[in-house]
Amino acid sequence: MSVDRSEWPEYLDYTYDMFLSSIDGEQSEAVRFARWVDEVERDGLYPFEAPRLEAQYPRVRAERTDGTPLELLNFSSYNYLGLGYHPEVIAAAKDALDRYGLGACSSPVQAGTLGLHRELENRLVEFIGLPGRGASLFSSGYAVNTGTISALMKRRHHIVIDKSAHMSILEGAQLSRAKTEYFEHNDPDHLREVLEGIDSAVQRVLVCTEGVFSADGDFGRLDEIVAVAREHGAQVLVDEAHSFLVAGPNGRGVAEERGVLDEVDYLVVTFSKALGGIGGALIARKEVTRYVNWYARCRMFSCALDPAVTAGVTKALELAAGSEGDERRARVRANAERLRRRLQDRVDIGPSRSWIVPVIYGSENDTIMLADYLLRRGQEGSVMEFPAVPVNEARIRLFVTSEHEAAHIDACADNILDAAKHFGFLREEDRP
Amino acid sequence: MTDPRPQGVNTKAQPDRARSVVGSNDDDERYASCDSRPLTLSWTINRHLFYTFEVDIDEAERIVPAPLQVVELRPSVALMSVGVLRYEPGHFGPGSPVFLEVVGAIHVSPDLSTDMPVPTMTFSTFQVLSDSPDFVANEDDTLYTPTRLVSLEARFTGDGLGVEAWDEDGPILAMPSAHTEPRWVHKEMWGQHFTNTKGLQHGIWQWDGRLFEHQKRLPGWRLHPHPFWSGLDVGRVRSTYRTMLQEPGTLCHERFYAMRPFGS
Repeated sequence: MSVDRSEWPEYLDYTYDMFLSSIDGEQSEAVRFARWVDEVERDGLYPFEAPRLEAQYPRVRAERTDGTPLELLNFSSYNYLGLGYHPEVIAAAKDALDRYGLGACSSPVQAGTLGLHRELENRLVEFIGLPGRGASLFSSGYAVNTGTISALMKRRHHIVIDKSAHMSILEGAQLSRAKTEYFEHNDPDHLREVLEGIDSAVQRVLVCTEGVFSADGDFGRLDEIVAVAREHGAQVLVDEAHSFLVAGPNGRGVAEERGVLDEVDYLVVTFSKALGGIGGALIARKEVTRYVNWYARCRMFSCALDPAVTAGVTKALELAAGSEGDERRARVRANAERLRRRLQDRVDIGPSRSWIVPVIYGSENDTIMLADYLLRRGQEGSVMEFPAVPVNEARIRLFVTSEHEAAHIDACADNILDAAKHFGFLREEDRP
Repeated sequence: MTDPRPQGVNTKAQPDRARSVVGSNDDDERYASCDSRPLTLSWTINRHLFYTFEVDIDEAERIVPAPLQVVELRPSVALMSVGVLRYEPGHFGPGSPVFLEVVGAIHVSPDLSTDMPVPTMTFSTFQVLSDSPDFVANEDDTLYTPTRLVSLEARFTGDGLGVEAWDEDGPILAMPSAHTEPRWVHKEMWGQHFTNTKGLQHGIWQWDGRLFEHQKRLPGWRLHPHPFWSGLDVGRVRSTYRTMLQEPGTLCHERFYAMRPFGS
């Protein structure tokens, strides 16, 4: 028998979009949102923003915002290869801290470019292994998209974006003020339809998509998307945030796996996922990255990546590009396969084939109660609901890493299936 | 002669129009007022299909009065909704017939300083069509919506999950039944709406009933050029966004509270 929802408080019905704005002059959206958070916290249910007390290990100590201590099975960090706490990565970061100090303390175009940055750029280009490419470093993956797209695309250009693409791509398009259109998620036929509707007088068209989509954990159909874009003279940007160093025979991402790495005009990678740090890079033709270095405003007018992170990321890249990376990639894929096998016949995991395994529980109203239920049983996942995903397709995303052990995976699956039974989202045949 | 006009309900607000509404549950105290505004209308509906579409934001902004803010779903994309409703008989006195409504609106930001549950959706209504003179008079008098009396007709699909609507000016829309496995749930929603026929007015609505909502693509939908769209170019409606369908064979309720001039 599933949970009785009849006495649940009204605030569980509220979704993110309901606080987006208010037309009054007093920021009532902030007042109402704060009231919502207060109510959830007052009832001891607030499952978000629980501070970690150590690195993103597979088991991690944390505490809820009310101070309640937590010992969690950590399936909500995208430290896919576990490099965020690798001893050699930490040592490299410490050395850089000793030598360069805390921050770069200047724009990268002025005095903020360090020898460490050049080294990381070179290693990225070397790893991608395509002639004539350069790398432009940014202090966040988000900024790579907003900075690059707004630098290269202007009014009267067109940007065509996969409907499930990351917010940073959407905001990049918005900043650019180019005409923005969308194609249905991972649908090359619809992309073709949209591209055919663009006036042939438009001089520049950019198609934006991703390697692995973070809501569904599915792979971008990059070979088909690139082919359609090429047919119509459009350029292609691929964000490999969740696939760089995890997907592809050599870890170069889904574009490598689909055989189109050399046809992607703008390859976006992040340092906060498989590399365990923060920041990101655009990899593109050398003259383009040089231009973006200057004309991406969020890069030009902000401080360069900090030395410790830059050195740590460089070391992480070195490890990930070598045999240790191969081993870790094999482990994360095997772990994800193990988790999917445990879950796929009993709950809805959507089209996931990657290390992001969504468990779709359906109703947004269940989100907080479900997240709280799992936390109290030592399980953490990353919840996602409307409008980030379609209505009635709310989900817990489970990020699998190479450092999870079989026992972690099995315990996670047990926790999820227990919650599925309690909340009534086990597949029909499994219900009592 | 009986007052042919509204069966709107709140006796304190409009004593000359007081009448209980067929099938309603307005004796429920919690619906008596909201934001210190009296309940003015309560409807019982036996078919309610509600479709939300993505539309170019500049097209939406063109028909929304300032200072309302059009909701921007994604950069350059706004939301436009169309509802097709069939009301229970008896709203305007014993024996008064079933009637239809088609309503169109752009999604706009709410006024969250209003003392009410956080609104699920807020609309700027651009057009209402109905085949009921009583309903049209009532809308004009109470909610100040831009309403026209037309020879409205609707044909619902056999499963009740799709509809075509038209009037003497021609076809308005055709929405197919596209989802084969609806999961019906009871839902209660609160929302706001704005109208602009008598200055910018702000209202509150409430809806409850059994519905299924989804965001699956609806292949084969069609919006026809028609005066209903009030100048909105239906060629710039890009795709369906969200579909909300009342469970066939059930009744739902829609309630409206007294309008107020916006900013008052």
